[in-house]
Amino acid sequence: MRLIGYALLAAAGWWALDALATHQVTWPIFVVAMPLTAGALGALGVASLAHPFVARLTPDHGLLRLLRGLFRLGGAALLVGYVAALVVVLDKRLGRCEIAVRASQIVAIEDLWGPAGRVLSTARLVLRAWDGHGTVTVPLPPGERGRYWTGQSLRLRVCPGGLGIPYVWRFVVDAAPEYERVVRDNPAAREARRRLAFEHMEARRFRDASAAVWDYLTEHPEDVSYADQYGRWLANYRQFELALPLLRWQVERTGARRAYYYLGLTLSAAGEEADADETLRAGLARYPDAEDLRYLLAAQRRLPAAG
Amino acid sequence: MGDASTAAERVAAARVADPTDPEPRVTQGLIELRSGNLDAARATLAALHTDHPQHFDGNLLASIVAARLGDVDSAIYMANLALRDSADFRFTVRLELLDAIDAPSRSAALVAHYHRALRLVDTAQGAVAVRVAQEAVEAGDHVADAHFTIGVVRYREGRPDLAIESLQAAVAANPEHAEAWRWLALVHAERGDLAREMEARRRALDATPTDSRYRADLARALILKVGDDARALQILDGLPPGRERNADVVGLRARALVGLGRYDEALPLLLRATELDPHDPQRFESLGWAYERMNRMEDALRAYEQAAHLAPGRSFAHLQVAYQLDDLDRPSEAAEAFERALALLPPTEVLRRRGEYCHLLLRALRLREARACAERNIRFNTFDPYMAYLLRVVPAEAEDANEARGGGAEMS
Repeated sequence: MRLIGYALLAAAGWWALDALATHQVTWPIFVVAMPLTAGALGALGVASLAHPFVARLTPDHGLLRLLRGLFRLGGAALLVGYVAALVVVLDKRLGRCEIAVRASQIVAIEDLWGPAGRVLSTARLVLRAWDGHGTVTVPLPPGERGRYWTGQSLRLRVCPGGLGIPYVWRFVVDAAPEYERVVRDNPAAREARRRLAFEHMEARRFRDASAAVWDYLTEHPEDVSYADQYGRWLANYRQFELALPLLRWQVERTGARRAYYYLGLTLSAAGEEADADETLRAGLARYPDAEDLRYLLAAQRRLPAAG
Repeated sequence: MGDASTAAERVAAARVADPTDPEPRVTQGLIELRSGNLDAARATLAALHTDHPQHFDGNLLASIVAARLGDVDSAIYMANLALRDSADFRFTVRLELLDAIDAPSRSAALVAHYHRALRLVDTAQGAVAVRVAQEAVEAGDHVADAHFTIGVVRYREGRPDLAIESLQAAVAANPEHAEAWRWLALVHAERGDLAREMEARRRALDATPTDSRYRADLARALILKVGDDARALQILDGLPPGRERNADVVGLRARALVGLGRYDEALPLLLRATELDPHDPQRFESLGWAYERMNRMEDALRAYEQAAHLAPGRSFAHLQVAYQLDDLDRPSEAAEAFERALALLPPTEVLRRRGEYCHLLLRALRLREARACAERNIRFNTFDPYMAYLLRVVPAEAEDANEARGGGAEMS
């Protein structure tokens, strides 16, 4: 039974370590919680292996007391690791990190553990703090060292953490500044303009994304599906005031049945029922056999009035 | 070391049987090298290089011959040319390479390149290549090439940060080192540093304007990453005429023309690319993309269907088929194609795109499925207004076609 208990304890400790290591937690958590958890696992392992032999040989010896102390210390340290890991996991479960996306930039990349760090390819990133004051240090997982450079822009997903200590859930490279530079240097850069809009959307910079889309459409109005794609994407984030002009442009430009459908749908989702009704009617006038528009219009009428 | 006279006879017979086959010419070069007829070997391999510029064994052997003749610059150049494309090389060429490494008073920088070549069959050779290259740097022997070798090995070992340091040292020592610029472009590209990638590609081409590889690389990046189609066309115009038989180059030129709206010129090239490479789904996807922009939706659909037929496991083609069917107001078939694409997409992409699928189901008046789809989707994205709306307009008790008819009757 005791062995099973140890095994369960070790498995839970391993889980805690894994939870902490998988995410780019901030430096204080990395240097406190992870070594504590790892040390606790080690201490418990040594104590549990040595305990039966020591107990048999010297029942009342000081060594036995030392081992018992090691057990208690290990247990306490493991508890700290569990709490830290639980905070990380609960944040994810409760979706508390989903909305806090912040822009940052790499200020420095420092190798860890001296020469050994170069072998293990482990480093820490010093980032601009998301609140604009000072810096934040984030450990970099092994193998990731070569992907980053000083001055590179990142997007951080920041979680509230426990006891008011926020931490970074994950970070991704924000390529928007790169594309902005390329577009500035080369106004003919069609693909870079497209990617710029995408990067802004990914970073939830909706106004910048919308501006980039319009900038692109001004130069390339033949790419009609682009307006539809971004119009719906913006609407997905409830950015209706930015989405609707794009979807209206799509209807005017193509007059496609699908364009009427999505404009009607988005107007309705935005609470502009009368305009939605009018759009669907206009679509039906143009496509009298469009069962989808017909269904939507009928369904629209069945809905209770907004407000 | 083998029967040279029988080998020579067989080589002669093979060359008569198929004059275009490069392999007998490599064997001939080997025979000449081993018999000490270095000038003949050099001529044979130079002719081979003209006809097959990317032949790995041929270029490596040409490097060994140049080294034997004391021409270290050419030897390094040919070794780099061979190593541009990784390949499994002939056992006999490996033996020659080992002899070349052991030859006395050889340039350390050149030997480092040979160890880099051996790394293709034995990764432990990477450390040796780095050590020998460092010796070359200290001795001032072809410093740029030595730094370059270190950079490539470091990259292959998964240390792009160290690779960049060495590659930058290589171009600092010799700003005309085209391969070092090309590798810098690769590392920058991997990091997503587009501005530096493009600069490095431009420098590679400037250093060797006659090299088709650098020209095609720059044009490809200009089209696919930057979207400067006009500049890409200018770059492609500098390619030798023979390259127009290459499906890749034809496809690139066509893409640039489509980007510029010059469809009449692009279409024959796109069709030609599908003839040159009829088994590559991407050729048909490019064709579909061009038709789409020309508003020829039926043709676009056919091209994407062909791409999906060639690569049934490729989600992109199925998605495009779905979009074309949707544009053609065939939502029911579009939903089926979308379903095939969803089955192939990674989970994160499925989450991102399933909302579209739910609406396709609604547009196809498959109401129960549409509602079930939206119920499932909204669990992962509770804020999605499209899903919320779908759940509002499709009642829980909806019955597909009957419900649609009911809706229609109510409307009228």
